[in-house]
Amino acid sequence: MLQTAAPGKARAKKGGAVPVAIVTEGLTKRFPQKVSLRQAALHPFRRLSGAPLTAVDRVSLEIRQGELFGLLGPNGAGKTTLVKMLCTLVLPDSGRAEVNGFDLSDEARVRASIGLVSGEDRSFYWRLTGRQNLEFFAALHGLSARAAAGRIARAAEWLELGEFLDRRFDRYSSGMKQRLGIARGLLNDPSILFLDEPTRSLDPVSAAHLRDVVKQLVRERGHTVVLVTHQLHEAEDLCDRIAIMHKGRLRVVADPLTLRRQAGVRHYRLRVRGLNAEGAALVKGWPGLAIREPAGDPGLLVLEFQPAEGEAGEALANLLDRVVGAGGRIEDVETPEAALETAFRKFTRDAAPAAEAGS
Amino acid sequence: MTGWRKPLAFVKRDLTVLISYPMAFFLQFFGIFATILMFFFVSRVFGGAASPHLAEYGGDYFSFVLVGLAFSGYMTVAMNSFAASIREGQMMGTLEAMLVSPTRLSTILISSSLWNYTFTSLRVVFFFLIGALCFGVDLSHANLSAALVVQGLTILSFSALGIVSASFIMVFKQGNPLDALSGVVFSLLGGVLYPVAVLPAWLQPVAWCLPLTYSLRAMRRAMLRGASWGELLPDILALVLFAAVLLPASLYVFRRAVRRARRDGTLTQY
Repeated sequence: MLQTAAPGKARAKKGGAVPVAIVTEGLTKRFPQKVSLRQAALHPFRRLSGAPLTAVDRVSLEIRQGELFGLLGPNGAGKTTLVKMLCTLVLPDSGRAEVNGFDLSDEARVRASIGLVSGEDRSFYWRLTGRQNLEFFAALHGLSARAAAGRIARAAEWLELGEFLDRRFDRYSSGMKQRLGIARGLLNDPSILFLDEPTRSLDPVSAAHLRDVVKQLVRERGHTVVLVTHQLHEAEDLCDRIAIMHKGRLRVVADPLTLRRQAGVRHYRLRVRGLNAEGAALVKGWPGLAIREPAGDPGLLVLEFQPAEGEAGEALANLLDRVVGAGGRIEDVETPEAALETAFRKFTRDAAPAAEAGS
Repeated sequence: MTGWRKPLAFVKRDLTVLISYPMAFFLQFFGIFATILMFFFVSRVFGGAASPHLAEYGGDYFSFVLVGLAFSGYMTVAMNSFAASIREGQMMGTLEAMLVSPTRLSTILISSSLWNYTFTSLRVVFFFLIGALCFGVDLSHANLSAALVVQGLTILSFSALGIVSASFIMVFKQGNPLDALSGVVFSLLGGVLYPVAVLPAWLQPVAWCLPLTYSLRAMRRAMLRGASWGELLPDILALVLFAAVLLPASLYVFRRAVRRARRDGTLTQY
């Protein structure tokens, strides 16, 4: 049972002072499957329907106020459906949720307190300028012309839209379109912003700029951001906590570091110099170790080491001793990004366990 | 003023988009002129041979068809603009952006058609101006206040059909059966180009089931003959009845369609 919150105010988490921006309990969505044309033709008067497809399956989670929360999962995992339910665009079949303390059935208030930025960069009127587009959407939020002008000016300054604002939308680059999308999402000064793959169509420079903007949204402006992304490095770089969904189920919710640990697989990359042939032979065959010699840098060896579960610390120490003992000079030890990918793969396997409620 | 903020924003949006296509904007008025000219020549074929079917409208075919052409535009707008605004919003992705704001879908739907109705009203004025100034149509006896009331009721009762049309688009995305209905049935039976009285007797009762028939008859009587309120009352009451029954019914159907689309997750799909 969800605890009732004062409308418009995030609920305080039990036993702590961290207010909750979003809470869901057993949220479920099943979509009816279309029947084939053949079935429909053979049984024209029979009510037919295929087994429903469960897009979101009993998802329970809490997202804290001021948190940058990442939603990861393979295609069809249910991420967008979950976000659309929280934005009141799709009706849940069962379970319930509160957004900013408002039940999802209180649609107008939920919508007034959220913003949605999708990766769909066409969702503006192409024959209008950026400013005219923003003025139109500001009016839909009930803002007066003066209030809208103020909000648009502030957003434009912050997002560096100024000189482009009076240019027609069809002349915007993809990066500018996404920034205009964020400006639109912020028009009503929402406490929660949903970003659905905002960097999907952006080049690396524009994507990096957008990630800086997202960081500022949370760290400096105090918004709660729910980020749906396929970019693991983006999620790891930005998010306070990450949820991984698979086949509609919430598999895990944790901060990136814990997620790596929960993956149960550690992966270290050592860059070593000075290891002679004898030394290399000594470490060769070490359990979980693969040795590479990068082209163009003679004398450098890259050791990819994946120790057995439960003995990472001791195994790494032993390997370091052996390398140093064999004359090797360790230049660098890193835990590469692949670790989150490992976690992602683990939690999106069919047999992976579902997350505990409210993880 | 606050209540009009959203509808006005839609009007401003659509006007700005229209003006951004200046050639298309002016070609529309040229198209009206060409249409009027064509029917002017058609009417000259008949010359002064007055048809008894036109007697209640003043006896002149050109004046008769001018009103029919001008006011059938409302039917076209109603049948197309509601459904088109939904479909366009779905295809462009703007519908989702609008729906995330605290604006009801019914407000979006109705506001999206405001400019089209405004523009159609401008076209109607243009039709009459050209008809009166260039082709000598006599509008000196027109009962303008009654014509305005008939126009309002026309918009209301036609809008109901447009809202049902939008409901089809909401659920089925394509294949709107009302499209065919408006194109064929209404043009054939509504009395746009000829009086309903010329239809076979068995078909005439069907024609009198359409709001367009009452709307055109009342408008022609008001504009061409300056018919009194008393004379127009039966048609006005019929239009009130259409609006009173069809509008709530269409809004109910639309609400059901939206609920179904939200349940199926297809609200913003096309």
